[in-house]
Amino acid sequence: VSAELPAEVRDPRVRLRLLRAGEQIDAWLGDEAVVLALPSAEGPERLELRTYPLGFLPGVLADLIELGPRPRHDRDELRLPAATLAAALAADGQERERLAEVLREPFALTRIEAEPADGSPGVSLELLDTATGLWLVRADGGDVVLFPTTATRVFRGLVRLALA
Amino acid sequence: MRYEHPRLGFSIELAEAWELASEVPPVFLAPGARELAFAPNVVVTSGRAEALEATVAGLEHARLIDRESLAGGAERTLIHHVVRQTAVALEQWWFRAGEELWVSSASCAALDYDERADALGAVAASLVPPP
Repeated sequence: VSAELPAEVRDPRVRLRLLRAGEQIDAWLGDEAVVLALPSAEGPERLELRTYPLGFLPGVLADLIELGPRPRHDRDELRLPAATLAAALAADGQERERLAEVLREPFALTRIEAEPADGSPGVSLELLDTATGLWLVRADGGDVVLFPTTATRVFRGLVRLALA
Repeated sequence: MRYEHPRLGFSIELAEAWELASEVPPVFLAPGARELAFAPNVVVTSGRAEALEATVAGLEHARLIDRESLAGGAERTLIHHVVRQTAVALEQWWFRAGEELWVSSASCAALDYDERADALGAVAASLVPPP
């Protein structure tokens, strides 16, 4: 890593990765600041490093995942095979029917992982943002379980990621 | 303890160790607030009904995170914005009382929000406008 890069990148306290719609955004957290590698306006081959005070990170993440008010729903949690969710758009038959109520388009699956450099346990947040509302996604063996959630709870999760 | 404002007539429930920092405007500080760079607080305001969008537009780098309709026509919103280089979480409870809108606004540094949200929200939600 080049010595010209910010200290947070050269020696991060936490590495954070945001995966959404086939794109990946990396971030490096220090004690006071965070550096994000964001797509550059100069073209898809280039990244732009932007440094923010650490306290801005929940808001920056909220912007990146376009977090905002969503319909509230009181559906029960939904369990389904992990492979089905991974291939949700391609699902068919009975699984497709089960998902139709939940995965009403447009929807987006977002995963954010924070990995501390000291080897302590990481923190992650997986979110399904759909036309019917927000769902937290948790792995359980070979299944995933979708839990109804709210934008407030998701924002609190973003704060926990920033404090990982 | 339910605090009743001597002049404005509203009341609000304060948990232990909350303090009244200012009577006018009514500002309440959370326990330990004075030790923090951005003091977690609840402010009560009233006035003519103003559209939420106007409130958001008047804040720096504001993003409306959440909006929830509550019983009795009340609303709760969560906004992230920037105040003097500090990222702030602003949770507001909007109560209509006749022609007036009463708002309890709970604020803290964004990084404190997960730890403080329940306590701040409980105070802000307890506002009872004057009869």
